[in-house]
Amino acid sequence: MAEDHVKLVEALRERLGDRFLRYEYDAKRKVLKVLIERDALSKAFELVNEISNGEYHFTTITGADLGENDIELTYFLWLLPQKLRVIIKASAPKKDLKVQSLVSVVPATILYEREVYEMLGVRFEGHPRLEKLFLPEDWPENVHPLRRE
Amino acid sequence: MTTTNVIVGPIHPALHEPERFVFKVDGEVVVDVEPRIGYVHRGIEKAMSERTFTQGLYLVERVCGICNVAHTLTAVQAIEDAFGVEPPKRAKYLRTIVHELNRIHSHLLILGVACELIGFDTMFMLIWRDRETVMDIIEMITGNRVMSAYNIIGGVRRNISDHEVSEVRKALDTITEKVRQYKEIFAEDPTIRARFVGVGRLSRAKALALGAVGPTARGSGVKVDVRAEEPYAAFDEVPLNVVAYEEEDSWARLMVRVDETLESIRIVKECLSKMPPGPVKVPVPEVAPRSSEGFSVIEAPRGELIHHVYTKEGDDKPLRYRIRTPTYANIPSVCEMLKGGYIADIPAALVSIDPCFSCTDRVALVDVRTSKKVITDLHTLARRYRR
Repeated sequence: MAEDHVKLVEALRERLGDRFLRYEYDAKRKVLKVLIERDALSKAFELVNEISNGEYHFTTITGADLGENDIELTYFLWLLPQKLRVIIKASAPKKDLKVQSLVSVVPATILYEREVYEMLGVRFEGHPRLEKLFLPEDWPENVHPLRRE
Repeated sequence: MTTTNVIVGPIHPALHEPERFVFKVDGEVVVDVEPRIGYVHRGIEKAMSERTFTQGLYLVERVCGICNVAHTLTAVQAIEDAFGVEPPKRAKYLRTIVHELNRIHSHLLILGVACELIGFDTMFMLIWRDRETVMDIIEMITGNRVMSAYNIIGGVRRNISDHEVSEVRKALDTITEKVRQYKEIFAEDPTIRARFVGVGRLSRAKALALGAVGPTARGSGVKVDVRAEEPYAAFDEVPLNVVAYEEEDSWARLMVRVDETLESIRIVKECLSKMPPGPVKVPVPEVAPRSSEGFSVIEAPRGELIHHVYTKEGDDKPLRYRIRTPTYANIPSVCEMLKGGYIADIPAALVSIDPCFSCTDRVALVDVRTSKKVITDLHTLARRYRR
């Protein structure tokens, strides 16, 4: 019987085609790390929804400006039945910081997307209310505290 | 339908940080809730990447004073993951012991506060009296009551002596007896049941969809505990029995904490007997030995806590440091709990997610139609609407 992470990787590869880039699996910690294109995010999470039957816990999104041309987004989730930690990574170029919002697929992302938006300026398209979360109302637009430039 | 806005906060004790809620109410019923957070945003993530790894540990400890051990534990595990360092076994056991003692004091704290909020002040004082016993053991082991600064990268700061082990055992026996009594009271006392049963409902499906964590999720029947699912520290050798309740209300969330306190006591005792001898720390490089990324997920007293760190080879500071605290994850869920409930039940529902009560208790009620404003504290609010 194929292991759970293999099944998930195969399903993702089939669903996303060439927008699935690569994966790593840490057998000791049971952590699957998947790298995909940013325009495949909501498709990937729709698949996670189907595979786990909604039985998964969405942990958080990390947005990181590592000083290069891209902003790296890391989505952490935990699949309950498979007992598998899944990390989905995608990146967006600073020139075109647009990413699909996952709120309609994963309601738990609602606050995390707002945080990544205000801190790094990533625009989540389709978010019902993409406003500041932690920063004060009078904080200047287009100033994102966690950007490196 | 005409609704009135009731503004609660921003200076408000009932959440990890001061927070502002706008409750849309129709008469006594809460129709919708809108949270606004960020009033004490301290920029810790940014500050972390301007401090060395060791300095950063003292900063993360201050993210939350109550669960400070949870934060340092997650931080050292995340940095060790990025550095590729493995702490000695004895250190892992000692980390588990202090982590669980921290949970016992945190759970007793919130159980006491919950009783106080419903006007059961005797229970509040009794529980807090017994919490002191735990604080004393924490002080004995780590050297400090609150900010223990016990976990360091590569191990723990100091060892535990045989005398201390026997003292911890004695103290735990006393607490066990008390917590068993409290369990009976929480399960059966008419005052507690009248005030918490059926209040702040959160269905299992909603808890999952909104990303609820910790006792908030487990009170809704989501049987997930990081200690059991992704064992860290010594939890791979000292397995945990996950506590979950199916009632989906405030009472269930408090009962989860009562049972978890007993479970934590068992874990500490088991760690004390299974703990191997040996060193408690290993030398660790001051600068990152590789460009890497590390993360650690643990079960803090309030739920799943994650730290995520990026390192750059040869750099003594993290490139990016990310922290997601449990209360932050529970905010969408608490909004859901309050919808459809009475204004009078707001404190009883809020307290059940175990938010931080270290700040000033002040609540402002504003009637938008008349702009009449009443500023009151949460206790007066709780008393006024107590039924």
